[in-house]
Amino acid sequence: MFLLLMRTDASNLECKTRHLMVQSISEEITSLRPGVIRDVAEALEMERLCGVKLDSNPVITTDLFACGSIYIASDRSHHVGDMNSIEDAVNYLSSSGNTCKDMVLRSGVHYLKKTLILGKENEGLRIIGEDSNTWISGGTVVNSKTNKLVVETFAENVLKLHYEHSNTSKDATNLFMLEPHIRMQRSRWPNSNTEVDQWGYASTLSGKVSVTLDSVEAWLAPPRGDIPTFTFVDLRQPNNPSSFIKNDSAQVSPY
Amino acid sequence: MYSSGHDGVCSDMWDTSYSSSYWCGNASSGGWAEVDNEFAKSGRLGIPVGLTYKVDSLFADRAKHWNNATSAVIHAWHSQSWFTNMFEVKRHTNSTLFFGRGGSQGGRSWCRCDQCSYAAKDWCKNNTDPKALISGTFYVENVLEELDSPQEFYSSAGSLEILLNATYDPYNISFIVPRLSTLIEIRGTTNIVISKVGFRDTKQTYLDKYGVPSGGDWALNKQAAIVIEDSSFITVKHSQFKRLDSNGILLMKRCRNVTLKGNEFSWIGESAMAAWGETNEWDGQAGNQPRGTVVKHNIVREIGIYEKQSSAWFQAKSCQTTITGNLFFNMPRAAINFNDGFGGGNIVSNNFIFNTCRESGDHGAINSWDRQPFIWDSILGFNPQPTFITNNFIFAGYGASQGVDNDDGSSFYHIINNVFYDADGFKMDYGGHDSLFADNLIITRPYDGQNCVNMAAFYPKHQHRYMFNTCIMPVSVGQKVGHLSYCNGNNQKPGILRNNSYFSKGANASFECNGQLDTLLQVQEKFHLESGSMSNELPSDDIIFDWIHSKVQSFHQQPTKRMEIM
Repeated sequence: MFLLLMRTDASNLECKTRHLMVQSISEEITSLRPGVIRDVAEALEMERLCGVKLDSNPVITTDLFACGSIYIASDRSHHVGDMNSIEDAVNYLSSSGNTCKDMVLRSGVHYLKKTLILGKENEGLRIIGEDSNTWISGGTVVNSKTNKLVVETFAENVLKLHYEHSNTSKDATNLFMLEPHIRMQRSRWPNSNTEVDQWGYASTLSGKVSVTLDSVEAWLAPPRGDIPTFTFVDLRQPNNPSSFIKNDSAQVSPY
Repeated sequence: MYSSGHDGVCSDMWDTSYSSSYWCGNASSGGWAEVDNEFAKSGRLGIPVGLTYKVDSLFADRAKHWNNATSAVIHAWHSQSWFTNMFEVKRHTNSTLFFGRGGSQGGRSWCRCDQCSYAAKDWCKNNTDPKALISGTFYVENVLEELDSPQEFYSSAGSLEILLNATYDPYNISFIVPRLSTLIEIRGTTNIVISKVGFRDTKQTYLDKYGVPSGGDWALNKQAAIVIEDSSFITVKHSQFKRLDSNGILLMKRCRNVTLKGNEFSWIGESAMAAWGETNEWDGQAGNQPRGTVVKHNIVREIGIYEKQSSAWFQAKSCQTTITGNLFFNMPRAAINFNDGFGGGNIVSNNFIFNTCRESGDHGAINSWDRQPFIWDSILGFNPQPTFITNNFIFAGYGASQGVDNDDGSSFYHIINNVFYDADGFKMDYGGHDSLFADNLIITRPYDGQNCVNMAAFYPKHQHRYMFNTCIMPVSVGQKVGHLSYCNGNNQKPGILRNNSYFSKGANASFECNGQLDTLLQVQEKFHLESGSMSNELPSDDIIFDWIHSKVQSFHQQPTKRMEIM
């Protein structure tokens, strides 16, 4: 699986232990999709720390089951006889009395208009994706076909897209590109890649992609409010209301 | 003791409809509990309602260009970096940002300079107000004037502005505005299977009102791509959860036999999988909790994009969970978090965990708290079943201190036959008891001197047991095995320690007991501890690796004969 190049930063023991982690994962977890082992090796910094490169990748399979009665069309796959939406299919299956309650989602994206609620009438339901490109999305599409678009140059090699879309814009607290599926970042200071930049207290980017206390005069304390209602029970007492006695409680003056 | 609080300032901040808050009680205890205790009793929480920035600061240079910061959001680390808080700005006047929604994403308050100045030593020294609230670092988002980098966007009523690299065709590109924070809600039903479905594009929820589920540090919101409530025999398998900005899967209230198997979670705003049960204060006998959940062969990576107190698996007021054969890596805090000791009976086995606590510390790859006792069974009462943590291969790099951080009061853990690399060994804190730490292989690293074991005393017959472990202290760590206390005690002893093997340069393992440093031989002779234990010379790296390899191989084997005598 690995090509040993040369040792770099880490000790031999550390590198061999990291290597063992990768090997054991690939042997133990049979449901890994292609590409995961390469990601694991990258996360363990095998190449940077240990000079080790992955030269192969396991391929795995997962099961697909369906008695095949109901198919649901996606944004890019619609066959004759397919139902139009997941909601329609769920409603149909809950009222039809079918013993087979399998519904297969066609490959592509299925946009939900509202949360799909499954209750007692949906017992026995099986929702199956046609392949690994089958997605349920909680979003609404914004593009130049659905919304008026103005494009201008913001800077060299950077475009500014201005969509008018009164129905969705005020709710756009987060945003993704559809394809490729990329997270867009709310205009931020200091700038950063929110997905990957680490800004914890010991992270190398702390204070670089975040602001330190040096800029703070004060965090405003809240005004005094109503004191909460307290519940306090000494469980060591024989007459405590729990009807059990607990005299080894971890939080009773253990020292 | 059982302690909690609700109403008043507590319900103003957190959603207490499912649970009162331990941190709003008047008798909370454990690490830094005096901070929350004081705030609760005074009716004045330590969570800010605004930020005044220095007029000559970097922040002021930036903010003076902002025409309208209303609806901006501040993301700020808790004073001791246990979680992040988000605050919506509702007004910006002079040099002050006044907050509206937000602040409830963690279960606890920030501390002040007079409570924990170590968290901001220089800032507190230069601050004239001893009661100044401390934060970690922070950033601001959703300001129009800060729209200055590709892949950024700014939205307002009626329009959406996006900056994009010119390599994209702007007329042939689509964006998704998430509208739903929960995609599927399964409630009050049974026998439903979801297989090979991908879930994406949920709306972020971090300005919602979170609840404080039990005595751990966490707060949690009730949204997830899939919410399963009061249901049984539900299976979610071989599915992908990708770029969801709330949680992945959340089990609520009475769930039985839910199986989450072979799924992959990545780039998630908060936690991947979580379970949150309900009790009537200390009484959980009604059974309204997730029990018997199986979490198997899942891959969880790159979570906690927004809320840093997020985990691959989190549970509060839940029990009898099996977490096995999973791969968890690249996350800001613990991979597995037990917020309380409710019921126990969990099995954590054969998992691979690394790159946890990448943005935080004072925590483990697996973390637990046990500050509130709960009756989970009408016969066993408050006593939970043991939780087994066995056959796991864990790197505790970055800010993780132990492979398993049994924090405040954690009890009834049986931690057996694991490999903990780059890790401290066993930890007891604030009165944990009745745990067994045995047959583990620990390769320590310089951290805070706890190294192989850190145990205080507890009542006889309820002490922890630490035995048959192999603990290797590399040259950089030195000779100190760890801390013990009450070594001479009559009524209390620092647990049962025996048959351990310590390896260090010079074969001179020593213990700090009651502030004094003693060799292993002295500990054996003076205190009658560590019978059968040995101090050995540090072996070569090749030998250490052989031991690691053998231990990992043993994960597939039956428990050894040696284990039967424990």
